Amino acid sequence: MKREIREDRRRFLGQLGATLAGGTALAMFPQFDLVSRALAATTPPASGHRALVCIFLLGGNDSFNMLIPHVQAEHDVYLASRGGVYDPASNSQGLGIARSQLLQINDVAGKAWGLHPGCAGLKTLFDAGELAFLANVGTLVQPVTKDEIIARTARLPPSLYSHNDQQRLWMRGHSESRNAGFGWGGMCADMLRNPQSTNLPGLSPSITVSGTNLFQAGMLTSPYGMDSSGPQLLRRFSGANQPDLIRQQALEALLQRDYPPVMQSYYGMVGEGAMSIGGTLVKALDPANGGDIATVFPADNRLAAQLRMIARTIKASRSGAINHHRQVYFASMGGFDTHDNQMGANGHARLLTQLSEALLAFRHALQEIGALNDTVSFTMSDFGRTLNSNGNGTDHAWGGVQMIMGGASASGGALRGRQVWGQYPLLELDGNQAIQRGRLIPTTSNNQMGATLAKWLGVDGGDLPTIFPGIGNFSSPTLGFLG
Amino acid sequence: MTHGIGWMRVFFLGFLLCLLASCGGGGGGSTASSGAGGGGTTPTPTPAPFNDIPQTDAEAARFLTQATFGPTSSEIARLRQIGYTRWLDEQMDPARTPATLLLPHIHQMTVNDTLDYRERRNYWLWKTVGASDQLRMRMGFALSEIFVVSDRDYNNKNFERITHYQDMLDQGAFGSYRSLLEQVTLHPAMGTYLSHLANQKAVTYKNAQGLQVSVVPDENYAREVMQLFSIGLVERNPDFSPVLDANGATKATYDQSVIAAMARVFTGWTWAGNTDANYWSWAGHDNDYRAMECHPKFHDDQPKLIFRGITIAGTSDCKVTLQQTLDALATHPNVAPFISRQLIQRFVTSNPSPAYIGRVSKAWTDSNGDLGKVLRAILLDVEARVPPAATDASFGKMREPLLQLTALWRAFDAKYLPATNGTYMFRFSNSWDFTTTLMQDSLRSPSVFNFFEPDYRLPAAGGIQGIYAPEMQLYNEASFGSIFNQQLDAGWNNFATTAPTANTPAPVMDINPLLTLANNNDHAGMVAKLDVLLFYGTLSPDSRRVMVDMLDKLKAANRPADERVRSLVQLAVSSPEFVVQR
Repeated sequence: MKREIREDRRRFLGQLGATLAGGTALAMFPQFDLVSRALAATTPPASGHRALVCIFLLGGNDSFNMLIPHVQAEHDVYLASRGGVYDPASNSQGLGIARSQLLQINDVAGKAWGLHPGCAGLKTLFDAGELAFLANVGTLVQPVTKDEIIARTARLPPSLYSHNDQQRLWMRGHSESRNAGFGWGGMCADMLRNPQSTNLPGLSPSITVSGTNLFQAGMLTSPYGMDSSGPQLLRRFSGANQPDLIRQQALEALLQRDYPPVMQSYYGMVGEGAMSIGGTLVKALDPANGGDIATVFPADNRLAAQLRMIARTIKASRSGAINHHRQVYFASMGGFDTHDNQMGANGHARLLTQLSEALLAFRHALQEIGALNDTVSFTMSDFGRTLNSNGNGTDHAWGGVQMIMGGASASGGALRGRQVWGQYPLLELDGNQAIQRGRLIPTTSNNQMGATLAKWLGVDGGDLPTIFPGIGNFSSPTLGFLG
Repeated sequence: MTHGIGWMRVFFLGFLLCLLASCGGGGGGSTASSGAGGGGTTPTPTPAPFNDIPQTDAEAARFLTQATFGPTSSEIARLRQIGYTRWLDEQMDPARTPATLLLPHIHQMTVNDTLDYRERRNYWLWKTVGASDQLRMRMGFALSEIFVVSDRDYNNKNFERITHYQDMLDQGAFGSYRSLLEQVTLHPAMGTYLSHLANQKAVTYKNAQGLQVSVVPDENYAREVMQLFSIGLVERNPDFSPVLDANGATKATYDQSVIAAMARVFTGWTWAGNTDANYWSWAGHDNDYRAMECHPKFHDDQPKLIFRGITIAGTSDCKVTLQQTLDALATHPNVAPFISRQLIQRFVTSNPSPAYIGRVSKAWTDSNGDLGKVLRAILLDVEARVPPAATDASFGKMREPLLQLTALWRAFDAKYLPATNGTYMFRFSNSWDFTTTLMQDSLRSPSVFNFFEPDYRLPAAGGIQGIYAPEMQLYNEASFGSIFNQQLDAGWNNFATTAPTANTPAPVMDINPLLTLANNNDHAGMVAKLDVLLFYGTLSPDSRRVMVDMLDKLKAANRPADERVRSLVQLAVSSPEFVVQR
């Protein structure tokens, strides 16, 4: 923001830091322990620019219809569980895709896999080593076996199969308890010391183009929100002419005051942030100031519009216009709760095509601005879905496949792409790795995936347990997909 | 902490205050929260320490802020005349206050390609401004955010279905929860939204490809009717505190086996008028909003073990199965606290004290889930009626953005005439879909989880839980701007000195009361006028000073009186003391 943050709020923060260092606050409020550990993080100040881009697929993506077995025997098992190849006339309750319809891809070890036929963009990315899959990843407290689940001795995450609960667990750094108000993206932003942006000192390193979310809720940082068209400026209450300025100052005065009711103060802070950052950020993103990009994104594709705005913001962030060093972005796409009409027109296939096309365009935009090797994008989703049909779709399940996109390691990027990481399961309805209707028991924790991404962004390995408290329950806290 | 002060968004301050004030307990003075906190303690009735007749305009306005779509001068006067009890009696008596219904209006329209979902939304929205059944419409709105369906997937067709659903909620607003739950369950708007319409018992067959296919009942409605519409995820005491086991852990209300059993309950229902042979087909326009009908052939006739060890007897009669199951849901001890707490949040405060929830739960249980009696208990509770202490950090709620808009219109006696063809097609900026600007709209949620969740909490520091603030989930820097500009589009340009005589792009508000004061340069008087209508008399001296100061400066800059009025109103409706009601 042009002005520094208001004097009393700054003084308050300073006091808080001092009391934390002196230990007084800890005695009063033991809950601060976590903050103090976060503040004591050893992570050095960042240089260069790196960004994580979270793409949340809301509703629970049927990802075993996105990355599909191609080896004949494995595909046979898949088809048997999915009720055969879908055919609107002769097999309308089938959920499977014929082997001949799959887009074949071969991983670095030479194994063949099938992509949903709508995912041509993903094939391009995978073949170029710029996309990796992480198979059968899900929410876990610790590794579990089917026997332990049947015997009810397993420690399981709370409220499995529930949308909002499982979304929260994906966004948070641990899966044991239902509560806790922080996301691992926000905690990464807490720990990574961005030197202040000179032009936009008030801009958070967490930026959302898709609304408030737990993923970016940190202990010290909360995300800055804009929409796909950029920041929203206030009409008649911002600008250069005198009456607008008079009105702007009055509104700022009301927003900047402290109110005893917490909600009023919080609302004031959100408004203050919107007013102080919006104008400068709009200038930074202005095409007249070089804030646009040339890459054409697909039309009528909300995710693409979000990713386009993220690409423009990354471009400005890497330049003097913002000059951030570490950032965490959030985008999302809805519609994946395919209980109904999964295989029909406008069903799952259309979602996957939109996702695939949006990701490919985003990759081109990142290359255009020279950020391909400095940006890692990844998907998260509530859960996978049942392999068998509920008549016209699928129900909530557990483990699934997620994607990681970034610059290929062969070209100087971090991603060990063109690989299927984790253990892709045999897709049986009630096999060793599945419960009843083909609910897959995850073999990789979403926290391992998160820790790998956090470490790449710059979080020190020793600090990972602060963000991911249960990570010690898994033999390897981080995975190999990022070098 | 030497770097990055600027971007560290400072919720510490509020959070610390919250700690010091022991928030979470809610306001309403010490009487309301005494005896709180004990899981499952039976609340004792507390005599109301407030007058049934509001003593001031501000007191009346505060009640009307909670119970209606916004106070008006005439409603304030009437309430001061008759008092809360009689006002509630009148509102709940259909003979004296008939329900505003939307479907008859839609049926007067020619349903063609030019008519779309906006006709329902606009007609409803306009009626929230002018109709007399304020409490019923407000309760219907609250219920539409619990029993969520959405018209997102059918903008231009079948919107009579969702119109009928909305009328059903309004008509059931003061009736029995149990019967409303049944109507919701069997309404095709819900049947299509949560996909239990044409749901069928498990079948196994060999398909044309020679593969064994096993199809099982759809779990969608089975899950959400428990998680969202009735009992929630964990067992609750009457005061909403979780029931804890010996280890201090919460107890789940159901597991996956119950979901599977419940999925089998909701089998055999499809469009009214269908035969077994066309069980899956849309039955056509005439049956589009009739309650779904039972087809025993497709109903799972085996016994079903559901929650609390209850077994629903095996029968092929889906109606019998449904009655037994809905009875079990409606009499589950969780329903009273689970739904009561959400209704308190919609009307009064985001963080009701356990004692407050307990008292409303008791009204629920005593009346067998009579929603009218529950609503009375909510609005006439001491915690709702006695204003919170100024230092109370947590009492109150954020006004939903749609309610911010209606409060503006009602405060300034807005008038609107439909177009000559009878349509209510608003034409002000962004009025085509308020989800893109106000972040919410009527029955247009992105998912069954509504636009915001009852358990959304404010961010807070240091591992502490922030207070609940469901509506605040809608707010970030982007939506702050879009809500502000939407209010401006509805407000700024639409003040006039005379009422409209023909259709206008937006409702037209009466500028005269404020304009007269502005012409006399009575800036303090202007602010005082707003204080009652928009702030129920609680506008702080600091805020008054800022507002008067702005008006003085605009006057000094030679800005005309009407611009000063518009500036003041826009400043007021975007101020923290308006947006968060107490």
